[in-house]
This record gives sequence, structure tokens and C-alpha cells, in this order.
Amino acid sequence: MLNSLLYGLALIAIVLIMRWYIENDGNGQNDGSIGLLAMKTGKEKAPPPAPSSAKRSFRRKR
Amino acid sequence: MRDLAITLVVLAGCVWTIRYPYIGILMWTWITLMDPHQLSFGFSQSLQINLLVAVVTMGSLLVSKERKMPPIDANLIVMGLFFLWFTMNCFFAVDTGSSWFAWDRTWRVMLLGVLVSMTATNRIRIHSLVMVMALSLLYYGVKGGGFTLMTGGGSHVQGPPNSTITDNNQLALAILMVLPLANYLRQHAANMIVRRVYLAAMALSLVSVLGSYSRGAFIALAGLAVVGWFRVRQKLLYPLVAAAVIVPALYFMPSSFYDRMGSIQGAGQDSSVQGRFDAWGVALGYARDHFPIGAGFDGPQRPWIFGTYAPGKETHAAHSIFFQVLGDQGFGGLAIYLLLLGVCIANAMTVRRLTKGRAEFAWAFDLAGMLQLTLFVFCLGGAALSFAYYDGLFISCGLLSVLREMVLKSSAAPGWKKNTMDSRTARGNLTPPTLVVE
Repeated sequence: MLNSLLYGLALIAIVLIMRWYIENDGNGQNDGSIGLLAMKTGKEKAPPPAPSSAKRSFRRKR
Repeated sequence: MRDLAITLVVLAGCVWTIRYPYIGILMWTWITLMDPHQLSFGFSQSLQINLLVAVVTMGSLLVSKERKMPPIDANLIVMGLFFLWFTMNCFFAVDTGSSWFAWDRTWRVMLLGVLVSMTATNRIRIHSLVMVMALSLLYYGVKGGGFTLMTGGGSHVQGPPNSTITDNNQLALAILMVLPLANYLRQHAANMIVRRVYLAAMALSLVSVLGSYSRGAFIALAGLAVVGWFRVRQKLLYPLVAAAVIVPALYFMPSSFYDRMGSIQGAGQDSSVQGRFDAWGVALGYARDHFPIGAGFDGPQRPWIFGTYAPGKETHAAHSIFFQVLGDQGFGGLAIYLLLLGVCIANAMTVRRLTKGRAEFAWAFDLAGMLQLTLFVFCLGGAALSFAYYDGLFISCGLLSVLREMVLKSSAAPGWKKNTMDSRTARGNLTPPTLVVE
């Protein structure tokens, strides 16, 4: 029973991967950031804008 | 029921492949690595599912706008050389029938590697391919880990019948090879639940490797645990997590497991280990006498050959990827095979060198590092296993080849310069600070 369940999950997983690929690359529209299997693209956690004083000190350092 | 399900999935995949050829590459990889049809109990076991998928994929690729040539690089040249060598060697095989039979399987596997390097042209494609590779083997890892826990580690974990990973040793090594790739996926999955699922699957796979009772895989696991430390970011957390998984698992294993692992020390007296030494001697002897060619695929295992070089000894498989290639393909074949492994490692090093500290290529940096670990485990564990022509190796070669091509193209583009972003940004967790761009 557990074996069959795991086998079924594996089949569902392969279909999910194929769907994820089509959604993201198949139509050439997305960057891989949508869907359950989305990958990090560097846009998920954009840091809040730095306060102006921090910006100034950053510039000074540079 | 399983037959119906697998047939439906494959047919649906074939329909998708007609429109999106890369789906065919994903399915081909899945079927070749996991052999899902061998887990059914009825008609699909005898179906040539892989052939169907391969034909549909090739046809779809031909009529699509996908590029028709893989990157012309050292990887392709060495793979081509290896193909030519083992084809030529088949004419001199001691058993031409069985040698051509194995040849037929090996060239198809290599073709898949070449197709991967031709079609996996962006990050999404590479990511989905790595997901398929991980899924294919983690399935056995999860299943084997659960089986080991439920049986108290008393029974050996075995692979699916009639496949390259039927043997417990080969299955354990194949699982170990995808653990670094699963770790890459865990690092780069955006969804927290998915990351937890990868982590749980990796933990169960470790238990499965122990449950395989494979001494070669146990040594490879120890090697991976040590070398993996150099590739992970959490240098302090890693040993704690590794200990939290491995120590309870080892404590859980029965005494028969320790008897088996203890025999590594007494290798000189162990008949299984002695059989390996005999097989290595046969491979070396045949290759030396027939320099530079070998006995053909599985040639040294023929009783009349084995008996000539190891009189009175029981016939054994090579039990080492290096001696397997040496016996099968001779010194010439072994030299090309080692060159192929060297090219793969060099490709991974190039990718890491060019992407170090670059936020947009943090994923490539991590993936190349994990593929290096995969190759390391393959070489270490494979040193005591007959696993030279494993599908996962050639797919990894193709992946590294296309990864190198992508990175080289980007580095040649105007605007490429050494990045100075901090490591936290480069991991891809955060967007680069806008102040960096002026």
C-alpha cells in the first residue's frame, strides 16, 4: 500500500516538474519563479529601501 | 493499475514533447535513471517505453527551432572519441554478441548526454533536469530509507529488477550521486515546504544507503561527508546536521550491519574482496596482453577468459569502474575514460572560477560545486563497483558542458566584470543592493 502510494507520488512529481517547465520556459515568458517548484531568482526578498543616512555612508565607503 | 498510470504519464509526456521537445529530454532522463516501468507488474514492463520517448524526442527536436548542434568542446570531443574507441573495440571483443548488445545500450546513454548539452540552454531547463535526476533516485532513497526503518535494518535495500541499479551496491552509489544535486535543489527552491521535503528525502536516502549494506557505498558516504564540508556554506551547522542524521541511523542498524562493515578491515581474508582482486588481475592481465584494446563489454567476465588469467578462481565482475573499463576497452579506452572524467572536473572548475561572487550566476556556482561532489562520489564509490557506463555520469557530463558554455558566453558579453558583491547577496537570497550599480 505504502509502495503504491510512493509510486503514485513519484508519477505526480514528474508530471508537476513537466508542468513547471512548460509554465516557466515552454512559452518563454517566465523566469522560473512561479509554481510550487519555483526556484530562487533573487527577487523574492527584496530588501527594504535603505535609509538615506545608510546610503550616504555606503557611498562614502565606496 | 501501475501499468495504466505509467502508460498514461508517458503518453501525456509524448504529446507535450511534440510541442516542447525538452519535455522529451526530461522524460528520457527520468525513464533511464528510474526505470519506473520495471516497478509495474504487468504489460508495461515489456514495453519499450524508453525507445518510444527517444523516437518522439528526436523527431520533435528535428522539426523544432531548437539548436541542432551541441557545444563543440572538449567534452563532446572526448565523448566522441570514447564512442569510436568502444565501437572499434567491439570488433575485437571475445564475445561479440554480448559486446554489441551492451554497445547498443551505451551509445544511447551517451546520446542522451549529448542531447542534454544541446538542449539544456537556460537555467530553467537545467533546474528541471536536475529535479528529474533527483526525483528518479530519491524515490529509491525514500523507499529504501522507509524500508530500512520499518525492518530495523535487517534486510538489504535492492533496486528495481532488470535495470542498471538492481544491485544493492549500484543503487546505493546512484543514490549517493544525487544527494549533492538534491542539496543544490534544496538551496535554490523558493518554497519552504519544498525545501523541507528535499531535506527529509536526503535524510531517508542516507538511511537507505546504510540499509543497502554496501561497503563501497559506505566508504563513498564517508568520503562525501568529509569533502561535502568544503562545498557547503554553513561550515559549523553542517557537521551538526550530518551527525544528527548519521549517528542515530548508525545506532539503529543491527549487528549484522557492523559485521558487514567490519569486513572492510579484514579485506585480505574476505572471499568477496579477494574475488575483486582476482577480477582486477584478470582485467589488467588481458589489457596488458592485448595492448591497447580490451576484451569488449563484459569480456573479462567470460569464464574462458577469467579462467585463463585466474585459473581455478570463481568468475567475478570487475567491481571497479576503472578496472571494468580497462578490461573491457583496454588501456586506450581507459585513457579516454579518465580524460572524460578530467574534462568534466575541469568544466566544473571553470564554471566555479568564472561565477564566483556573481549574484546572477550563484546557482551555476552552486550547481558546479555539487556536480563536482557527484563526480567525486562516482569515482570513489565506483572504485569498488562495476558501474562505468552509468547513465547519470554521461548526463552530468552533458550538464557541465552546457553550464560551461552558458557561463563562457556570458563572460564574453560586454559588461562582464569581476563582481564584488558579498556572499549573502551572491547566494541568490537577496537582490543585489541597488547602490552597487552606479
